[in-house]
Amino acid sequence: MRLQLHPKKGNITIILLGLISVMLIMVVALSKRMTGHTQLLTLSDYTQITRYFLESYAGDVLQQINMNVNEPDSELYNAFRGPPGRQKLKTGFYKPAAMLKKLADELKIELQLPPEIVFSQAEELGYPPGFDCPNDFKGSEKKGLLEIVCKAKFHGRQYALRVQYPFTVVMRMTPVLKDFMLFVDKIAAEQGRDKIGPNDHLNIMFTKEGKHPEEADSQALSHAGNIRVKSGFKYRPMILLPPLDETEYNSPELSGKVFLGPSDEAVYLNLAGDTREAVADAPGSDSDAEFTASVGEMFLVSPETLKVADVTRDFDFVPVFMNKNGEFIRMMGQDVELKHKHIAKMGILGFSNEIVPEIGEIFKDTAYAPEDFFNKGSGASEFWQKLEGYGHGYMAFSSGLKLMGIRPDIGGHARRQIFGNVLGRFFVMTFWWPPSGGGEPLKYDENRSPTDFPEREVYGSVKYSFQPLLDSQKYQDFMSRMVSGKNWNPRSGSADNLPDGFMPMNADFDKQSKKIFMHGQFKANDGFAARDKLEELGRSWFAVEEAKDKTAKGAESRVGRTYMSGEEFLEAAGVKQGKFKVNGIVYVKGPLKVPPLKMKNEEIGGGVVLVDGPISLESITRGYDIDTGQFKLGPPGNMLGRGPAYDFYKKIKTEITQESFLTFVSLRGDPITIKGEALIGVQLICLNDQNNTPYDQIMWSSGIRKEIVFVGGIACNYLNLPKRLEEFGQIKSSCSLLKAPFFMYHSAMAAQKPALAVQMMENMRGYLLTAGKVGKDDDDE
Amino acid sequence: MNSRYYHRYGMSMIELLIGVTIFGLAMLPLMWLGTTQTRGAYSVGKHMMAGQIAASFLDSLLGLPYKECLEKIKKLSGRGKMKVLDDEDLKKTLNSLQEDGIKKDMETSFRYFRYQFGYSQDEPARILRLDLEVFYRVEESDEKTEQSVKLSVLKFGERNG
Repeated sequence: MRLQLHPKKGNITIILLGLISVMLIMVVALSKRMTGHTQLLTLSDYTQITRYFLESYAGDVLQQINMNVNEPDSELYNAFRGPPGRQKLKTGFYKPAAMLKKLADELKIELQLPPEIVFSQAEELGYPPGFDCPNDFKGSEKKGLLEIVCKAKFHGRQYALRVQYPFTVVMRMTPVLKDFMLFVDKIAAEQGRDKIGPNDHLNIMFTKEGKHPEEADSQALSHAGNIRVKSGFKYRPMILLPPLDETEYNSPELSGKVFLGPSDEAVYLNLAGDTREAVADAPGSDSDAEFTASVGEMFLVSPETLKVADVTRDFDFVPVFMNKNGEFIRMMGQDVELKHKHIAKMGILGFSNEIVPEIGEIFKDTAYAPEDFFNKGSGASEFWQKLEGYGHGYMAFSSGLKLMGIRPDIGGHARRQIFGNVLGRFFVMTFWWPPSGGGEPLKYDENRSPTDFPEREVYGSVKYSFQPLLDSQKYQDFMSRMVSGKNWNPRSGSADNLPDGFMPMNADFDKQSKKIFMHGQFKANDGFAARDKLEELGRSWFAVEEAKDKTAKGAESRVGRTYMSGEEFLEAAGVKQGKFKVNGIVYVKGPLKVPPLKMKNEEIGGGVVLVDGPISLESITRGYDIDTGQFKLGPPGNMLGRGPAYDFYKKIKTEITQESFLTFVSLRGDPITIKGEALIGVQLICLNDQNNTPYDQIMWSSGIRKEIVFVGGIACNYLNLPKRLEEFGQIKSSCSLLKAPFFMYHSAMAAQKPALAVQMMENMRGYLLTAGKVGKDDDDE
Repeated sequence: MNSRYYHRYGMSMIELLIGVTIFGLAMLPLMWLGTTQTRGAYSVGKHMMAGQIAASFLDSLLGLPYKECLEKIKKLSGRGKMKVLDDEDLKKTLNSLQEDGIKKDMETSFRYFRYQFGYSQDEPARILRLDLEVFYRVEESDEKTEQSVKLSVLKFGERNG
């Protein structure tokens, strides 16, 4: 039998083969797809791993830039402070951190060095209205972007991360404010409306025999009704020492300016008197320690203040009138020559226990009463009327604030500029002394005819008349008076046209006269000028813009870092490592408790710490071995130019620069409490008045037991002076010549070239991660 | 009677059996491949999710100030291997979701995800190394199929100089 294949035989085999082929194709396709998945997954993993590695790398570069950029010897220091432009930075400073290297080893990533660092953008920082930046400084403060490119190889691919970090270059100190040793823009409120009497909290320092005894005499207190001074409490004045360095002493720019505001209110400071000054000034008398250490402030009054005095001669110790025993009552002053060899004896007296009629020596056993000089009732000057109402005891209290410091041995006073309507208050007693027949006081009388001079008939036949040398001289130029004896309203007249009878505390040395200085006269050593009221400048620099998308042009636009707690800031500053690096303007969510800063200047990076909350400061001694208990002035005769205080200042004068100067700002007006006795190289700012009435803004803790030494500046709305003087009074004086804390300005604050700090911010911009096969030119994104 | 050949047009039983067997044998690897493929795709999804979780956990830590970051990582690493769903931040995120469906889905997806933090620190240099490993199961029912994604990054503390 022959086997015949059916024509359809084998079909199944073909079908099956086809089916298997399809299956095989499917298998291959599926397997390929799976491999693709795996590759994709692997690439995604690698990218993620490398991304974190490169971010770590960029972070390391940034950290090292931060550490080097403010070191004056580093390569980066000048690069950031130069003119803006797109330029590559040298990367010699960068050494990968050990942890980064370890991570690279573990992950088997090849770290590619060096990174590329380029300035990609920079623009000038602006200033708030009123700040006039000198042309040669414009552009020095800037903001920009720094581009860092980090590369690494991983599993045959090259990855590159390009990121931009914002940076700012800012001044380490606050412009304009840093030129002030003391800036109190609302201190007028501490004097009440009357400017004298119980609400005058500035003139509260009891003065007797050229000193400020710690406690006021009960007799004086009993004649000063409701004075703010508390019986049994101790007080010491706030004396702003004149510069101890001779160059600084003679420089208005370097001696530390003072502003007492506001600009539209007057502040009256009672000049302290010292009758012993006159004794020492008398011809033939020798200065002694007591005299040299006098707190008397008559040295601030120059003959030109009296208008009719001889400006070519200094004041002498002159007998002005006689007491009942035939003894002369002497005081500082001048014999002003009149026609026919007549003399007007004009004496000047400060506020002191000696002039209180009821208890002092001046009017004791004399035929004269104060009213013979200063008049009474409505005929007297405004302040004298008030003083009589409150009690003569107020005449024993002088200013607790001594802006020009103490009487220097060399005469004159420091060329410190006092801004604001600050007027010195003191007495002038004039006694007309005809050739015979005794004399008479020239009583205060503003309404008297200017040409109505006194006449005197002697023995019924001889008639003497008071005739000034010049016809232009008026009775009012000679009469007895309280200088700055009226409440002058600066709003009603320009400071340039201050009426007669007032003495500005500021001396215009160019014009050899006393003159009120307002913001127009302000010129800092670095060239900054003020085009707005000084109090406005203080406010606008620290203003915070309410609108979300805007930033104020002052401190707010310059903040480099924000810390959410005081501890976080202290850690970043490196306190634990024995450093205190602010290096810029930082914002700290308070409170901030700064521990004692004993590290050397090199370990301190200067800057401004803006604190949103209260601040407490322990001593800042900068590595100096300073025992404030031993802090003293030099011996009499060379008081300011010798002694531990002078030696110390000489040392710190050049060692402390703006590079390490520290500024602490209480942003919301919360108190700044000083708990350490020594603050060296510090400016404290508290200019956000929350109460609209005087309160404690900068205060010294009761825990301080040693002498207070403060080198730097203070800027606040109020001093709340009685409280401060009480705080100072808790400490026994360490120096026999200065019974007050040592407040000194540091001339570095007024350096000609402001120090700049570079701040790098951590918020990345322009993030771009690229990956490409090694050797391939074009990167695949 | 003429002998006639009867023409068979169908398949014999033998042929059919052989065909089915061959087809069956061919289908087996295909089915295996399909299963593997599905499992693979599922695993890729899990892996990606683990990577995303790890990245978001690390990013949230990197966003913290140095000190807070250090405190948090100390706390987290002390807890050992934790369920992802027990993470407080993730819980908050899930609780804030309005859609119940999405929340449920997420909870189901992350059911077997776990994570473990580790850290080391160079205190003087203020550098903190954060290590994070996120574990997931390829087969949810089988603990032995657990795999992980590991990421490491350095966090730098501020040093002003």
